Amino acid sequence: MRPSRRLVALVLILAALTVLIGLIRQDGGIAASILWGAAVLLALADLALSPSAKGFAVEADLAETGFVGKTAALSLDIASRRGTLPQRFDLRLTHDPGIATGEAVFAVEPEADSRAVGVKVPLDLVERGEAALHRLSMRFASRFGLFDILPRWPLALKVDIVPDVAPVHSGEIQTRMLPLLDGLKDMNLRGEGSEFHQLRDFQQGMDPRNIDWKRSARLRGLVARETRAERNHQIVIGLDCGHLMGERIGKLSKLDHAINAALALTWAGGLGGDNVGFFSFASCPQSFLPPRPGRRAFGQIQKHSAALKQESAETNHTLGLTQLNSHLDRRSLVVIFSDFVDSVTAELLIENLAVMTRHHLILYVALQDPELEAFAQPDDVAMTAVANAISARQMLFERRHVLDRLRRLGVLCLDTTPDKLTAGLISRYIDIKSQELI
Amino acid sequence: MSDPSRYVGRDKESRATVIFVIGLLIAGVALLTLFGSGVADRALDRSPIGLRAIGPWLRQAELPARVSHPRLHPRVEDLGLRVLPLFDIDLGYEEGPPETLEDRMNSTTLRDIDLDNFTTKITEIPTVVLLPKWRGAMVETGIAHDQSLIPLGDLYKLKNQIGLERAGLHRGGPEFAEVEVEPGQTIALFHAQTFVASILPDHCRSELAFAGGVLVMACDQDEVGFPVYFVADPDLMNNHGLGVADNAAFVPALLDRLRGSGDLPVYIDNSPDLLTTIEREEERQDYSRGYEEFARFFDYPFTVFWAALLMVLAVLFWRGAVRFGPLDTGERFAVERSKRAAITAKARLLRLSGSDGRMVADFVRTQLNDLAMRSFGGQPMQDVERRFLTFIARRDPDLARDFGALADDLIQNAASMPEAQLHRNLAHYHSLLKRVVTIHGPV
Repeated sequence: MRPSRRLVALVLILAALTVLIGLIRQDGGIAASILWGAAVLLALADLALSPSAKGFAVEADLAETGFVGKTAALSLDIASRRGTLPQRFDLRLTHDPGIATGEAVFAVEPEADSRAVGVKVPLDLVERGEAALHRLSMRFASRFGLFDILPRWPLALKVDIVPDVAPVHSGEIQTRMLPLLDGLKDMNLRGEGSEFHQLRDFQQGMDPRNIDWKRSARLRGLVARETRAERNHQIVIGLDCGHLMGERIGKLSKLDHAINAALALTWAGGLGGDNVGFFSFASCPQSFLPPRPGRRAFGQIQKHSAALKQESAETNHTLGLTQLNSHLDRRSLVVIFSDFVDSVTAELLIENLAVMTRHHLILYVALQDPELEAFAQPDDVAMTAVANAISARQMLFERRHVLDRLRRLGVLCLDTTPDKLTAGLISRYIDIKSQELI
Repeated sequence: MSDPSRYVGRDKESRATVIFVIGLLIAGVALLTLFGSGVADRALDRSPIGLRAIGPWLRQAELPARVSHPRLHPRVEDLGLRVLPLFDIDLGYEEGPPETLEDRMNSTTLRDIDLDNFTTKITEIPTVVLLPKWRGAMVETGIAHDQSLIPLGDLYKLKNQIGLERAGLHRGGPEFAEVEVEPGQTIALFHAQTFVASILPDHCRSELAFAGGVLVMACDQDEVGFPVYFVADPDLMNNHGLGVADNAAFVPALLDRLRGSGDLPVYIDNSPDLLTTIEREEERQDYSRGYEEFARFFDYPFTVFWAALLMVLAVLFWRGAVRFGPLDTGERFAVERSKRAAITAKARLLRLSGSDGRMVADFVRTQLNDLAMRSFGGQPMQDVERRFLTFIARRDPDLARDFGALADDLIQNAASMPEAQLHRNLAHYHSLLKRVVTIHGPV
């Protein structure tokens, strides 16, 4: 409990009146005492008529696990032990940095004369790891509004915030992989792949070069060889955990966006019959998970990536990519999630990717910043906005310049916004598979 | 062989030296002009009508005496009697310094003194005022000639100013008038100047009679409790008068009598300025601070003031001490703002460089290029902007013509445009761009 603004204003007015009495009256002590005494009595009456801070019971519930970047709902049941709930009260949560609330204070207005109310508080899960809700604070005004009554309750609720694999669980990845596995595109692959799949009766319109003459002779009918894209390729995901990946786009950091996309690719790789490995690096190389069949790799990579922390140091691309190169003993699809600021700082990245691209197929994934694009295309033409646009365009130009250099070196580049990252990455993977670039 | 260029250099050096010396001389002359009045003052003090000799002489006669000095400011309380020679016949008018010798010879005002200063001086301590008698010719020539005397009629204004309007002055002929003031002690004055005894002002009385007149007169002052003494003939005490007859022996006795009891010195005040200082009691009054004074802070009405203040502080402290919810930690993610900060910092530098025109030209060129690239694909190509305008012209020729002309004007001439025109054209460009985008799609 604490004095409200109304009580502070009242006290200030009383103080001004007291000074006035002291200046005007020869013996105004009694008058001043009467004023202050009346104020004290009013405050005591207000406290006596107001609900006590201990007169409430709260039950809270929160899911134990949530995906980073998603919202988890905190369910609160607030009941009054005696009498009815206040007509209006505010709620505030004390929580770890991994959780964010859209508004710092939630205003609740229960129905008139209700004794209990249920409240759903949306919580944004913004950082991977374990995050806790420590305390719930409540604020409501006393009967005459002279005091803020502030009950609070310890919560001790924990939520495990894990990388977002909702596209995997929802079947979105499976759907996106259908063209490769069983759809129209797969038909084409059957004809264009290099790995034998099956024999089938020759139909009008098939390429005559696919006819297996020896078996046709044995079966006394035309049969054609059907091939499909090669399976059992090696995919290695390289994740930069340096300070540039800590930049936040929307709710999540670039690192979180990259981890979510990497897990989606891992699942897709498993569906595509490939082996997926994982490697992270920052100022120095970190752990390497060797390629394994996709579904087994997924659990391992999911668990490992949940514990990844973004470093505040600059990334050492030379050390990280050289280490990764040394782990790879066969041609692989290496998907690098990384970032750069300008063409100068990207030089080492370009050099090392150029070395790797001699033996491996490199897919470089960069995340576009929508805010940078917004700066470059201002809505108004005030001089400050024009100057910002020029400055942002220079950054964008350097970014394009680096990506152009990488493309000329034979590195595949995917430069997209976070919301299109997973879809774009899966699509590119399907393209690579269908074209047998690995 | 000698090098002619070296001589040229020396000539320049000697010329610079001459210029420097001339500059110093001019500065010296200026200083003399500005501060030369002190020299004239010292010459007056050393002249026959000055009072340079009286100070040492009084001290020799064992009468304590101090001579005024511009940088010494004695306290009034430390002085017994002031001797104030007047060399000014109009205290209300400041006369400029004489320029020629003739002016100096004819000058009747040898040292300007302000009437207020005079009044202050005579009201501070008992003062012996020596009336003027001689012109500047006495200073210049040192000869007490009839022509060097100030006509008595010229002293009329001075008498009015110093409160002696009813006093009459009489001056003797070109001879020494002698009077025996003490047995065996005679004072003598040349062209003796005295007050007319029969018409002394009401508030004045004779202190020393001389040859049928009054040489020293004491006048009461209303505001203060001591008189002011007027000596009609300054020759009684000036440099040449002290050497006449027994004047030198008489003057210490006279001044000793006039200063009254006490050992305070006689102050020979040769300065027209107020050099003395007055010790004011209220400036140095020490207040005793005791418990009673402190206790007054806890008497009414301070008691209710303090009580009200304590109540206010208690309520404010209470409110500030109890929080609702956690502390606001502000921005948690510094890294996410780094790119925005870099862009705005770079933009600020661009603005500070003052190249708004070139900035606008670059902005328009890049924006046009972006539009074109999005229309024709990401591959760079020749003259892509012109092809884009042709593309727009197929849909809206007028718009394409206006937009192209304005964009071209901004790209080519924005750097040299006045600021107002630049803003106007840029706003027009933006409005046209919106129409282009509605045809073409977002930029």
